Amino acid sequence: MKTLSNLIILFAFMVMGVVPVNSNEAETNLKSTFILKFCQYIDWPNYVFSKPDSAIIIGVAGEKDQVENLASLAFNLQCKGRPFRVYSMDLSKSYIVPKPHILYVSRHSNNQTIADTLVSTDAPMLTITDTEEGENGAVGIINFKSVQNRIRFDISLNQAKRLGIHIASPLLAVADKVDGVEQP
Amino acid sequence: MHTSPIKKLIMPVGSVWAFLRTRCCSAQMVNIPLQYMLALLFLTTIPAKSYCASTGAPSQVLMGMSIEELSDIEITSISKNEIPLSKAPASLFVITHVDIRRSGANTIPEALRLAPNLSIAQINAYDYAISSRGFNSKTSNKLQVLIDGRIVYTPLYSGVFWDAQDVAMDDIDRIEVTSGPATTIWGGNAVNGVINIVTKSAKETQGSHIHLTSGPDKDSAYVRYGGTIGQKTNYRIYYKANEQQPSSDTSLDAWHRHQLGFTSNWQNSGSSIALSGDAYDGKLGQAQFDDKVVSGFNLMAQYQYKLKHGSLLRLKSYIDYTKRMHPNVFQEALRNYYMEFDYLTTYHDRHNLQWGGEYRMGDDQTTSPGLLAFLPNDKKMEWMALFAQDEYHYRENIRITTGIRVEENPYTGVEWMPTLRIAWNRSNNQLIWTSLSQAIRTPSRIDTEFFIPGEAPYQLMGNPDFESEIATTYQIGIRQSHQSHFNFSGTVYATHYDKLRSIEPVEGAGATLGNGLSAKSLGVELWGNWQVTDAWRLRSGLFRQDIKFYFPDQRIDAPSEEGNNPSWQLIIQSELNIDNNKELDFFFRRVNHLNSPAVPAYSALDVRAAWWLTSATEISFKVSNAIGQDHGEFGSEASRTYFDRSTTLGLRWLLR
Repeated sequence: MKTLSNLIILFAFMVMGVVPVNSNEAETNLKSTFILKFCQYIDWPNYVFSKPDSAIIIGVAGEKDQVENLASLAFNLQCKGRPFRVYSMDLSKSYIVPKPHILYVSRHSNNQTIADTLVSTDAPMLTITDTEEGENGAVGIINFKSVQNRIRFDISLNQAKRLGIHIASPLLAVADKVDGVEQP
Repeated sequence: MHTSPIKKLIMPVGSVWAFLRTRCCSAQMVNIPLQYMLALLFLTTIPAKSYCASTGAPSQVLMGMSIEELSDIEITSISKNEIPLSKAPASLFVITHVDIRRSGANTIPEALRLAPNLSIAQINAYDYAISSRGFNSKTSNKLQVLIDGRIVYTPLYSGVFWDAQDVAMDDIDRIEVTSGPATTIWGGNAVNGVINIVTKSAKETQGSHIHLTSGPDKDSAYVRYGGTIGQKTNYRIYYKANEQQPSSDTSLDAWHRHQLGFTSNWQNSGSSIALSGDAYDGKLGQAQFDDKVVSGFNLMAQYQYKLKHGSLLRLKSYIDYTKRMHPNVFQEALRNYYMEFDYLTTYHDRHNLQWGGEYRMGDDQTTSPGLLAFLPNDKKMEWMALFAQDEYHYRENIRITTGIRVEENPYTGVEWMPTLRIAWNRSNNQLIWTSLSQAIRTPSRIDTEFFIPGEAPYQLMGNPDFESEIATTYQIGIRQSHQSHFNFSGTVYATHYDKLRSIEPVEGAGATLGNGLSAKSLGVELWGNWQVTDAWRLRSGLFRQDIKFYFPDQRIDAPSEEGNNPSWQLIIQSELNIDNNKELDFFFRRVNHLNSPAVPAYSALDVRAAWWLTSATEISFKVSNAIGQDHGEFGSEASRTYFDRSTTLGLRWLLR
């Protein structure tokens, strides 16, 4: 009985508090999937990764649910032989976040000033944002938008080239607009 | 009196619970202090995720779609099935290719040591005893092993000849290790676990790749080239060679092995075709007789077609030929032909359905000079199975999976293998699951047609009426993660085994194999993964198990024919990036003693340092068994092989 009690106590320690589920779960999941899929079409400059299996760091400026959702999807997935690691870019935390290769600034990000700073950096970072047309806000290399209840995206190819990031043409073909020009 | 099938399933569970209440919690179970186990809570876990590969559940996850398809999805139409609750309700551990590279593993058993839910005992330079949840022996028969979906266990004894199976380590994408029953999808034999080795697609292995290792005791060479044909077809071809000196002056277990193979993938928007094949030969030294010789080849084709509304049809077929020659003992040539189809779809937005069927034919030809024999020498065997599984989204965060497999085998006819799993995603980063399964280990040639010696009068005889072994398992588990910082997984299980193989004397005529043993097993599996800093990752894993045997109803000591198992095992792995180009990795294991025959507990530490001269060139240095004296892991004291410190230098060169 002692061992069974110990095991029950062990499980009680394991079970943490409940985190409320995001009411826009479907949209969150879809965008998380897009972010992981984008990687297949992206090439960073050679000097960015020191080894063939160095991890791709994804930084997320957004709600905690968003971070956990992307981390949950990304775990044990790989892109071109590289595993993903997902971190919150909440700069109030003390944990030192490595410089991300992908930065996702969601529309639910609670610190727009810092988000703007991160997006305007010169580092070879794939920036992904959530700014709808007509809104003020940072616009990254890839920007999500809603079109007829679907998630679409625009690509700023000039911004990518400036940072040394190469985007494969199949992804450009699926984008709504590339450098402001609508795709056929 | 007729007993309903449901009652037949529930009754063993009731007896298991009675066992838990009154008998399982012996003093021996608390030898590992609780404080130590709690300390492991702070070492976080790999949240083993593989899209339910181990259970075969078909979750219509969004990741299976192309970018174009994702762009066409209406947000309001995304069903619960497509919300990525793709966390398998099973005790599943995934060894990634990064783990394998940083461990310096050069063979499949060396890579499997990284799984905390497996027992790996090295017998000699090329032989291993590998199992999950007990019953470990050279002929372990309760573990299903597949390479890219190709079954690699032998119908001779329902186990794996580890000296004949090899995959280039640099071609492995991941190894999914599930402990516990998984027979509904993976078939009879997956009683205590499944090992699924998944290689990278040809698209991911383009360009030239050379990997050489050399040390005083062993050398290996691996050469690969990957290319494309047109826009849609990728391929790779490879050659691998291993050579090892004897483990000791008396073991005479030197061995060498060559293997070459290919993989090609053709992909269209809605369909894909994969072709692969390997051929190998090797020589394995032994003390008593001339070298053993092993050789073989396999050829496999897989076709996948995406139907409307996300349904998926998969077809697979392969031929596998192996030949073994053990001088003065026996010789075998085995051909396996296999075909499978399965279909994955959704129904009413709440059900993920998977159903399918498989057919396997084995043509086994043996000869033996007299020490032992399989009678008849030659035998053709057929297996057929149908399976179905439904993952039902009962509530937003609760999935109930029910499954059934009906399998016909050449010895006992039709067997049924049901399963029930419940998964509760309590939050985005916490999964609690439970399962109840009945698994069957169907008979093999060694149970029914094995004789010692090869001619009458026999000392040991196979039993043509040998029945399937039955295992009823209840499990409960939890998996928790926090971003990529740390993750944790824990499982508690209880298994009731019935009709286990026993050796039973026959009056005036030696002994025969029967089904007189039963057993009760209770165990816990814990592992954690912690990204301590950006440059330092820690992983730890522990299992603790207690198995009690009964014949037929009397408690007995663990019979040696049921394997030799440690009551607990601990592994700790540290991966440190000294800077962007230099790595320093440790792998420590502590394995408790074995009882029958007695093998002392041992600790082993492997240390590996690597330096990436460029992003395409790595040199490495590995010390195996860096601490303590040499140790043995299995076998009687008289014949046990002891493993001493060894060193290996490695060079890896990639050209794209």
